[in-house]
Amino acid sequence: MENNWKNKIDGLLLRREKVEEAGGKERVEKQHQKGKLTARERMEALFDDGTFVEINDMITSRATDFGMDKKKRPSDGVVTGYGKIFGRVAFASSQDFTVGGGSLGEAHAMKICRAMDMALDMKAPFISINDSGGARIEEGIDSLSGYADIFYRNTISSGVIPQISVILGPCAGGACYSPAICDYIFMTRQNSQMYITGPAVVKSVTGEEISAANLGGAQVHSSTSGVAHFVYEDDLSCLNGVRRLLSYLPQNNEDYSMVVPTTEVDRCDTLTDIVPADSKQAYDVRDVISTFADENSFMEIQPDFAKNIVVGFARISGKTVGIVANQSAFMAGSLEINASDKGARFIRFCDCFNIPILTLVDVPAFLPGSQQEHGGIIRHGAKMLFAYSEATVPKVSVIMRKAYGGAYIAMNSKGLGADVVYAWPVAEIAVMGAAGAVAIIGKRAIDAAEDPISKRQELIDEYNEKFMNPYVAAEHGYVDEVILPSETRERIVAAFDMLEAKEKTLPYKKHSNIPL
Amino acid sequence: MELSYEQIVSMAVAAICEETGEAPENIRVVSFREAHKSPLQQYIADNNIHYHKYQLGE
Repeated sequence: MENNWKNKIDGLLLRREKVEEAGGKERVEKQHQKGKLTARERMEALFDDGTFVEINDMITSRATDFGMDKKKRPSDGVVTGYGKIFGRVAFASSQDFTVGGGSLGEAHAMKICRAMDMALDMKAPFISINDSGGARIEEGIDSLSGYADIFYRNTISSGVIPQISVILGPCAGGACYSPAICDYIFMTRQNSQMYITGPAVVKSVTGEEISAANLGGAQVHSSTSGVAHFVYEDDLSCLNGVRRLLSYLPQNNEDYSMVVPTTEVDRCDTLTDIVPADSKQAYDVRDVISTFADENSFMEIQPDFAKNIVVGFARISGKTVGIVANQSAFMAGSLEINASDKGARFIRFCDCFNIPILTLVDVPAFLPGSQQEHGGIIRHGAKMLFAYSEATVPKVSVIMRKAYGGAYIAMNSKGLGADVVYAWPVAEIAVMGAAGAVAIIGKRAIDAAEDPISKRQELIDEYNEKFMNPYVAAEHGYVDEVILPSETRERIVAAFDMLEAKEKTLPYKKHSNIPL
Repeated sequence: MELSYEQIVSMAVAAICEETGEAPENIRVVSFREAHKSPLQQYIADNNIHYHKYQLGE
């Protein structure tokens, strides 16, 4: 063939066509029939229109064992590259299930690692879209080593750039550890599955019969295991969710979140209707958040896991804020193992990425009981205290109602380094509730009284009068101001404005040793 | 209905003029190529999916 431009260009275009065919029309059709997009379609949905640039599209496997040299695997089953999301650079990998089941081999892993290295060098977020049958057995230890290379990079990048894992198909075995190290995991109800050991092996080893969905589907991981953070119906809505999450986050740990002007809201004059003055009556704390967060700006994380604590991102005057709030409507907002894990992880993420934290407090206690004690509430609860103490981002608290005992301390109290603490007039800040306190400190007086029941009530009334209010804490400096609920937004905005230039450094250490 | 290259370019120029208020004689067509639906756009069209890519502030 004559060596001229036309031939060479035609040759390149033909190669590109072959690459873009991926696993072929039939396999692409099968993917679509399952309600799944292809790897490149997912990249198009993730990035701003026309901005995705694929890299290393022609990489193929060098393996020769088991006839691998005779198998065509375009792009070695993964699409990698970069593009823009809201005009900001991001990097991504997207496993291609139509090519060898998206199995991971040496070249596949190398491509992902290269994209991860670029993301870290450019200090930009990395999104990994998982849809893979797992390790490519034909490549043996090279596959396993590929996974290790990825996990290492996830770890080194942790806390430096946001890392998001999107599970849009199977993710089994050791492959789960990459998402586990990432900051946020997205799943879809239709097609996502994650488990270390699949149903077949579970049955053969333990005899337990369980479906893939019940073992590791989106429902399980979003409500029981706490592994997943967001669940959507399908690929398109899920990738939109990823875009939405990224809109709240900075590019890296030296950057700040974008200011996104939206409709500001101040309906704090309705707070006295939303939150009952009687601390035994429940309400939904998300209704509280909606009175001061910018319109429709609250993006809740893990809404179905550890419902007794609500965490998520919101905007106030266009600026991202992380919110941690006790949920009165579930378990009276008490803290326990799962809530402590959920809260601590979120607080630490906000601190990694310079996102100020607002804490809304209405907490009666750490949940008592042998299940909690034997489950390790001591070390799990300690995570909340540790996370707040270590966080150097601006920290503002509003004590709405109950704040008792160790749970009060754990919810960003002054002693843990809260910058500003507000309290409503109905706040009750005390070691414990009146009945419990009187049972201990008033025992002798009650036992000695002619009418123990009246004496007990008298002591409870006295305790309530003296301690079940925010003023003792205000007098001792643990509350900066007792505010009207209608003043809440105004005070929060003023506090975060004042704290914008906050800079705090901790003593030098290689890294802390948070209880795990 | 098949349109000629000239007809398509004329329609495009007319649309730009209407959008920008610019006079046609001030528009110069530098290059022109046919844009096909992307695979994603085709998938959305084939399956009648109501889809809107998330934009900032929504």
